[in-house]
Amino acid sequence: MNLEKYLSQATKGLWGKKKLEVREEITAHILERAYKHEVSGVEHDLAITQAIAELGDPKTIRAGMIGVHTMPNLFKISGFLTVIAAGAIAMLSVSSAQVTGTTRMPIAACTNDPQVTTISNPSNSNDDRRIPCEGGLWLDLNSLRATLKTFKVEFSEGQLLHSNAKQLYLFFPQGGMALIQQPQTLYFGFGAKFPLSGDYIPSSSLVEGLRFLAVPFTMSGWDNPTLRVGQVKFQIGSNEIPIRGSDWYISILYPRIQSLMSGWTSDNIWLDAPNYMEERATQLKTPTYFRNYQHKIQTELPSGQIVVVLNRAVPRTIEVAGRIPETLPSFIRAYIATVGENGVLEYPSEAKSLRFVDQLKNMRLTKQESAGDIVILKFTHQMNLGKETFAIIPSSKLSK
Amino acid sequence: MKPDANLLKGNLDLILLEILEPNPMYGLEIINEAQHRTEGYFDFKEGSLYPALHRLEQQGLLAAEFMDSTTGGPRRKYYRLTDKGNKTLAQKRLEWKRFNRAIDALRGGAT
Repeated sequence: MNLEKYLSQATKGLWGKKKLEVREEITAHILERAYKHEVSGVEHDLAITQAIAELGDPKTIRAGMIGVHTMPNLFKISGFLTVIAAGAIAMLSVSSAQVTGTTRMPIAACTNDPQVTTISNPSNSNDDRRIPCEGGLWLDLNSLRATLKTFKVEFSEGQLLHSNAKQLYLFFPQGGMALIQQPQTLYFGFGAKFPLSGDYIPSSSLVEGLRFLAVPFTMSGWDNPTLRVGQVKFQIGSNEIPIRGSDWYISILYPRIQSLMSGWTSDNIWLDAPNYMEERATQLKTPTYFRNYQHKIQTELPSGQIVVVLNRAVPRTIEVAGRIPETLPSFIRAYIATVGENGVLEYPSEAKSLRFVDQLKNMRLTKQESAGDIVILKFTHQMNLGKETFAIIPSSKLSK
Repeated sequence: MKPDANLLKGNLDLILLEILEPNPMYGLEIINEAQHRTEGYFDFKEGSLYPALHRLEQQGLLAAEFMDSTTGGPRRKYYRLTDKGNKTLAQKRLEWKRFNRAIDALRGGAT
């Protein structure tokens, strides 16, 4: 086994900075061991092979590292407990089970250069094409499997004929099966396609799969949000690779707004959250005119409640660095945030003053330096069983 | 004669904390130091050392830092005891002493 293959196997399932650190540490170990063999007259390649053999099976390192960095804390604290109290695992680990994820697109051909956009010239070979790495939220499937297995969730998988996606079946102990799609290839304009590297699923496919369960499925929290299916409860994200709840709520909200605005086929949706775009990708920076006026809205909601403020913006061309300018005829701006202390919601807007309305169809186009119509939705946490995920807050419950 | 694998595994934290108490060290150095100080009695399975070090680091008993290699190779990750690690070591030493004393008492009782 060569060095690269060994490192790849030893760090499989780890992600981000931690993966790089483990790689560096193991590389240093192997090379130093190999160097000592070389000094005693062993040829370089053989010295590497010997050093690798001395380090042992890469699966041992991998299993240990996943146990430390991605498995639920319960296992880190006490393997003993897991043996004697298997029945209590779900109760004990509810607050510590974590699934790791990434906002970096799992495609080898992506680039961090903000000036590069999708190259969709069909005459280019795939090797010439580059796309920005910033692309949604991806969950580490190995971490998801490891976490859910502690709750006795069974996994099974299959591949449909002529399908780009692998099918993952999750069987929950409380009853119910979720079907989750794991795409194998991502398609970009003009037939440019890229294979996915590593075991990842788009976060939206997990939510979509769980929404058809026959047991209650809820989501809550802003940073590293918590998902709950019956007694199964786990967090998405970790302290090392934090995941903003806004990433999730945006993907859930999108089809909901589309259905609410079914009469406005020409409207686009601009998704926004406090510092969301700035943090995630400079090339997607929110235009500053959306931040011209900072409003404080008094609600009757508890602190931490997740809400979405919707308004209709006037037609304009949005120019952001690294992207082709986008001309939007009219669009809905969906701003996702949490309610602050004493029920105060801070809302940056291009409108000088606000007017609360109860229905989307009553919203007028917002003009800069004038009053802006807004509808505020409350996230209800319930994600399935026919419950509304977002509920409109009556304007009578809001004040400036 | 090598120690029983379970004995080694059960006391790995104590052994690693003992080795690291005087000086910060990196993985391979810890292995060599363990062999040297115990005249080959402790011979770690190298692959299981690193997860153990990471676990202790995550528990806050060790702190780690990458530093340039003195021989020009890749950077090495040096581990050192934190205050919490020092306290845990003192506690584990005490436990070990009590355990040994109890075993001695049993042996004394048997003879």
